[in-house]
Amino acid sequence: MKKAILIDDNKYDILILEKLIRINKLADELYSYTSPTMVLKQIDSLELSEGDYLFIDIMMPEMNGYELLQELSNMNIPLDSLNVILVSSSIDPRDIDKAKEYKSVKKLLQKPISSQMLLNATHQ
Amino acid sequence: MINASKDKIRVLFVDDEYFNLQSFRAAFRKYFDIYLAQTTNEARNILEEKNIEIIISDQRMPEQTGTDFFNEIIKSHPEPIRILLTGYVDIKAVIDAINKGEVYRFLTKPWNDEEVIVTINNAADVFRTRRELKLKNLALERAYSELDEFVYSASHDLRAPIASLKGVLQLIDLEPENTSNYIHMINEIVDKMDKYVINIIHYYRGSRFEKNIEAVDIQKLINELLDEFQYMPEFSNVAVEQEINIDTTIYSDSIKIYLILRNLIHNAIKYQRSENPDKTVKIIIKSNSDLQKLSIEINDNGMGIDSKEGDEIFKIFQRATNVKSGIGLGLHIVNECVNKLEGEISYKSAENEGTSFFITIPFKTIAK
Repeated sequence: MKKAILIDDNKYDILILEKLIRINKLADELYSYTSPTMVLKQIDSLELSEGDYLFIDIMMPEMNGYELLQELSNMNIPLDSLNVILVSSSIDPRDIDKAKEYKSVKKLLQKPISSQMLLNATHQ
Repeated sequence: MINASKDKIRVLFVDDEYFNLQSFRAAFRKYFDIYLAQTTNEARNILEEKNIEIIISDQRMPEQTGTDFFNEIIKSHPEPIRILLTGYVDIKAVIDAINKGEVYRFLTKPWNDEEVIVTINNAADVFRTRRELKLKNLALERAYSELDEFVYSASHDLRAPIASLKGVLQLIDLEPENTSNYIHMINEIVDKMDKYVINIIHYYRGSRFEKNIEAVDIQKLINELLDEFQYMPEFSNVAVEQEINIDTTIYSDSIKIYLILRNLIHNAIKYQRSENPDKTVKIIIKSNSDLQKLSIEINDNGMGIDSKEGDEIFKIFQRATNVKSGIGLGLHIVNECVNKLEGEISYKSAENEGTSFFITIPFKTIAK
């Protein structure tokens, strides 16, 4: 079954998303990170396959979600075959527009995320 | 910066005749700060070096006319007010110059002392008012830019915990059996929001408002801070050492000093390395009554700051680390307070070794 990788500097948001993913049975292997650099170090060992989920928070102090996507792309991680979903508590329209520029991003979800939003975004 | 309105007005007088230069100085040195130039080249040099506010130039000079000289310096030195000194015969050139906006007024030769004084004072008014407007505009731009940053940061730093709260409330709905755990999480999140709001209030109280000079009891401030910090989870494992040597009563703004100490000590306790068995924070404060300077050193053997950050760490909403949560106002508040107190701040740090902040603040020994 599927893997879900969660990247968010806010531990509460990670917990919430983990719960929602489990309750809605979206994936059965979950990996959570509060540090984007840690993700870059371990991404290869995670052995992601097609359809796996990548939930990435946009606003993180170390590097923002977009920068992380760029780094992953530089490492030749096949983002197009993964389900890349950006999350953010920002209601700034500039952030929302920016997500549209990245074609590997399937959806931008605004926190707080609900079960319904998650199901809609993952078409289940 | 010197209070410009109390300075003597700086006037540059340009005339090819030596006798006129000396007369001018003799007549007006009592009232103004006079600089003399016998050629337009000398005048240009003086303009480069001194902050000239008014230029009075003779019109008829062998190398260059006054109006030509003014025409030339408009680009390089647009701010000084230009006054032409002229005999009746040159009236057409003068009217031209005034109409083109190059010259503020003209004075006739030979000059009338009273008239010169009044003209210079009026011209200085114009110069100084324009200068002040320029400075206020710059300050306003800076305030707007900070406001922009604040709004953007508030949208994240206030909204983010609210979004988390709503998420947790949703979980309580889905898993009511775990409610007590979720209530604990809610408490933590609300705490964080409260700290952010308090920080903002501190920032405005400490760094925006004007100075309030009173006797400052440094030891008492430190004791109060440490009392407050004992509730920090990180506090219990940190050894705090104090070396406080103050040999005179210090008069300064105690709110600003409190904010400086509070933020630096709080950071020193918070950004320790969990694997370090000897976490230490040192508070070293000394007063130098001869120099009337208070020196503060706060040092820790914690995480350290990446050397490439430099002065960026003092910028508003800047965070140097992802490892622990924080809002990024603390060091900005410290920097603002130090600046408002006309002190200096610097730091030394090495990653995984620790950080030391050094601050000197001038103080008074009597209440004024």
